Amino acid sequence: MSPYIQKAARDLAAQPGRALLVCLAIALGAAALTVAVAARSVLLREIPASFDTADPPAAVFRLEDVDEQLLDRVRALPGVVDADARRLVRARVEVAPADWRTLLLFGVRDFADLRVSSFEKLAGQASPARGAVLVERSGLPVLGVGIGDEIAVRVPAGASATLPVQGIVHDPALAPGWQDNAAYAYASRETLADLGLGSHLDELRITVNGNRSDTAVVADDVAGWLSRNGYEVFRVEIPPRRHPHADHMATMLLLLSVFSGLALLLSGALAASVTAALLARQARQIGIMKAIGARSRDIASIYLAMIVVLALPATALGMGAGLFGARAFSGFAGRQLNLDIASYAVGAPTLLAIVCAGLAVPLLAAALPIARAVRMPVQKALQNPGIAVPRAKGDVLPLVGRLGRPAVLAVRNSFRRPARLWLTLFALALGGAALMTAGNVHVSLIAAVDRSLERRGDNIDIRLLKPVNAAGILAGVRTMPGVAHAEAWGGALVALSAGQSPGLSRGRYGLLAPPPDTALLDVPIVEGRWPASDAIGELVVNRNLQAIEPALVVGGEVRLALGQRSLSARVVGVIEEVAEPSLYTNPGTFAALAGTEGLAGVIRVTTEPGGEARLASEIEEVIVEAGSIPALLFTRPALRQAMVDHFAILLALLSAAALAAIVVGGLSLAVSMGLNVLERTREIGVIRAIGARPAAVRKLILMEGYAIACASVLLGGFLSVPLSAAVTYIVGHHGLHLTLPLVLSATGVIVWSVLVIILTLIACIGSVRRAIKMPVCQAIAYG
Amino acid sequence: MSDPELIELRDISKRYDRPGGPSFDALKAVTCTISASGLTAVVGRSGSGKSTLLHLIAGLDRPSAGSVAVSGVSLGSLGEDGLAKWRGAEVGVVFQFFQLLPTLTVLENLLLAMDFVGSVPARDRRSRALALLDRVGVADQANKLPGALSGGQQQRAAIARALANDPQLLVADEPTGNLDTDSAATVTDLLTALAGDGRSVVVVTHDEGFAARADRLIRLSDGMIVEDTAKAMSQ
Ligand SMILES: Nc1ncnc2c1ncn2[C@@H]1O[C@H](COP(=O)(O)OP(=O)(O)O)[C@@H](O)[C@H]1O
Ligand SMILES: [Mg+2]
Repeated sequence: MSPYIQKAARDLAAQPGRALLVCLAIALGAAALTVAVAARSVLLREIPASFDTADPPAAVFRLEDVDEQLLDRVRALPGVVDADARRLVRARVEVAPADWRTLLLFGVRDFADLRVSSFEKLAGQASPARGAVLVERSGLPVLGVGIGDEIAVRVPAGASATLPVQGIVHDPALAPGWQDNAAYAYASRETLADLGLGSHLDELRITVNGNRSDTAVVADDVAGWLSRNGYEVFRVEIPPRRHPHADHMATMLLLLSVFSGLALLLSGALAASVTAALLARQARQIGIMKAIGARSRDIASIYLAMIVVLALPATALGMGAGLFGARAFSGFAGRQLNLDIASYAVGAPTLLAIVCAGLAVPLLAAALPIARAVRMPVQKALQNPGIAVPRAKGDVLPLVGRLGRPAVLAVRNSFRRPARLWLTLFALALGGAALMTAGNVHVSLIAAVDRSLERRGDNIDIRLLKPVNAAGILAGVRTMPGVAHAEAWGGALVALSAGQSPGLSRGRYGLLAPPPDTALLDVPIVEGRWPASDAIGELVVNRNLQAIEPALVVGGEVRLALGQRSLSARVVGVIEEVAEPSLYTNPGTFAALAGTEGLAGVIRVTTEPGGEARLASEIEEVIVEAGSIPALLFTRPALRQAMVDHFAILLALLSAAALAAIVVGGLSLAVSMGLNVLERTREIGVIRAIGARPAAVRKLILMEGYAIACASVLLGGFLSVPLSAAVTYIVGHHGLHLTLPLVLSATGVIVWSVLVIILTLIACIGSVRRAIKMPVCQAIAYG
Repeated sequence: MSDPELIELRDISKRYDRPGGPSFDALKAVTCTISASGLTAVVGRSGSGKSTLLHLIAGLDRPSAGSVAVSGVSLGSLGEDGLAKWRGAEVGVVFQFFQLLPTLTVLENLLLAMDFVGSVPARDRRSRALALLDRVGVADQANKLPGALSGGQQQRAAIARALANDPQLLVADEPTGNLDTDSAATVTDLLTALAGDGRSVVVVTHDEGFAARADRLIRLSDGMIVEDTAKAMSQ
């Protein structure tokens, strides 16, 4: 072994406590960095990979029926990779007596030969018998059933049936049912026919080679080919090629990147502070080595070797722990998206980068103190007591003087190592700021949701699968006891097609046409204006729709299609709201598109609070009698809950980050206090010799801790404002498409203050014990 | 000797365990008493156990065997807190390297000592501190940080601090060991004068001249008292 390493190892062994602290600091930083970087790399790879295992369709064509012969011919068309037939029936399922939820019932061509929109069998049978279904796993919490149970289903025509569940599948392309309060089921053509729905499969789903613009070309070619060959194409849809909750994920990955940067910064700060302290005690030894002829290079090598000896195992340890954390976190994120993480493997380059950062950060951090120690003149180094002797009193707070001499001493002591003080303060404050930010963003989200729901006024919102006569429905609903106010709006799911905007994805979205005198919509316009009451073809879109269809800016042209009819329209305004991607227009435009007046597609009702669920099921019966069924049904409490659930993962991430930051902050406080007390062992001995009792010594150390803690609460409060603003902005604009209010909640400050008091106590316990236990005469002789 | 006894050490031993070697007896069954007034000089070669003895007298450490009694009460029966309380009220400690707290001014160093013990009423502390600093001749340095004072000034301020709570016993471990000749003379004069005030002053010193002025001389060798001479002239 080289004498450098030997000296490094012996010096470390002589100060095991400090060596351990340095290791812990580096390990913690490496762990935090690993969680953030590894989770990000796993999710970035696995989310699209898992999504792609579903063979999601590049384009969907609505035809009369799609048979095997047509599929064979389409598969042979240029650009088409594969083709399959499917049908989507929006039905209802009774999960408890009179409690109906949305059921998306898919008609499947051949369970043994899934070509597009595949799903994977998890349990039970791979293909259900006639009259039975398979269900998707994410809807199980909504349905509350298992294999062998039956589900009660109501289909658009109004027919009801009970269908046995014969298997459970996983479809990674679907938004998790438990989040959207919906369930998914799969049945054969024959089963659909038995339900009175006919045996046709009306969707031709294809996969294609190439990117999105190629897709549009191929889709147009296929549509042209279909028309030329006598198939009537009602609609062409090009769904976005990403998971329905991809926005959430993007937000999270962005936040993860921010947090990895912070983790790196914090661990670097902590490593720098402990390394500097480690070296301070070595000043005399450096003087001795120089006196006996060591060159600067030799000395620097010894201490750099010391850091490597510490950093290597610490980084390895931290990385190991971090990989576990990353696994847990990406697994959690996967479950939130109903995705399976196929592999938690992290690429060698990523691991290498983490190891390099784990080594480089402490080495860089140590470089400055090492350089300083090495350059110190021999004489000065030999006399160095290891702690700076202040030249000026430098009281920052005149107020402190009032608290008595011990307080003055504590506060001045905390300023003796300004660099260490700032690092500790910064680390603690960042922990506090992260915590307060998590709280603020949480409150802000809830406030935004509540404000948005308040603006809408209704607490039951029903979208009808098929528009029905408005007057008939309203007459039934308004007479129900408990209903305060009810409106029937025009509305339907409409398909967008290119028009003048070639960028459109041609998806299907809800079009709502509130009456001009509506009392249930008070959403401020953020761009443009509301449609004029008599103009035909003017639209307002919400930001959520804009996020999917960026071409829908104010002035953008679009063609709306409903059934066989279509209409040219233009976007005149934009709103921000907590809602599905939607379009708004006036009743005139909707009537022009639907071809008749007086049709209702949306029922919105205001009830007394608490009665929502019961009234919703009563209203559902009225709708069924009128010949339709709800395509979507929200009660305000359920909608609010759904929104809150959507944010769960985000809050989990924020809380985890806050927790990590608090641990790092607490640790740096402990390290810093430990070093402060260690360095002042002799001074504490003197204080005890001149009459301080153990309680006074404890108070003195705690006061110093609290001085730092108080400053951290202040600094954390300041830091939390821009941090909250940034995270609120990111979450609002990327996750919700909403300008969230910046909320600064006092709760966060209070929680952090209490936490910081406890943290300080814990951080100082070790130092206090050590200071009190050492015999006074030994403390005085220390150093 | 008509002076009453202040501290009584009986069969005191102090054993240090040395890592990787045999344990070492720094004091071996030492018995002596310290009277309530007068200057006691402790001399002996380096390593003979002088500092160890001083620490035990001042309650800064506990013996491995034997007992230290103050006015008939055994210090061994006091807990850490009781020991600290007694030390604060009855003992002033002066060190070779002054050991003023560097972040507090000279005045604040004195005030802190009174704050800890609390026997001087709060409103009298400041004037008492200034009077003490005046007595040792550094009143004009009261509001400076110790780092700004010369070694001799610092040691005088440290003596003033040791006197802050008006202790009966003052112990000093080589108080002049780190001073130039002139400053050392001032400090020895000061300590001698304090011993004449009805206070007991115990000084460990290598300064033969200083030792010669003491009322009593204790010589240690290898952890044992080999000479204990009281000077008749102090009578
Ligand atoms: N904490 C300790 N641990 C081990 N040995 C000690 C300790 N303190 C003092 N000694 C030893 O005890 C002996 C007496 O020490 P000390 O009382 O300081 O001597 P003096 O003050 O006369 O020079 C010395 O040999 C010293 O090495
Ligand atoms: Mg000594």
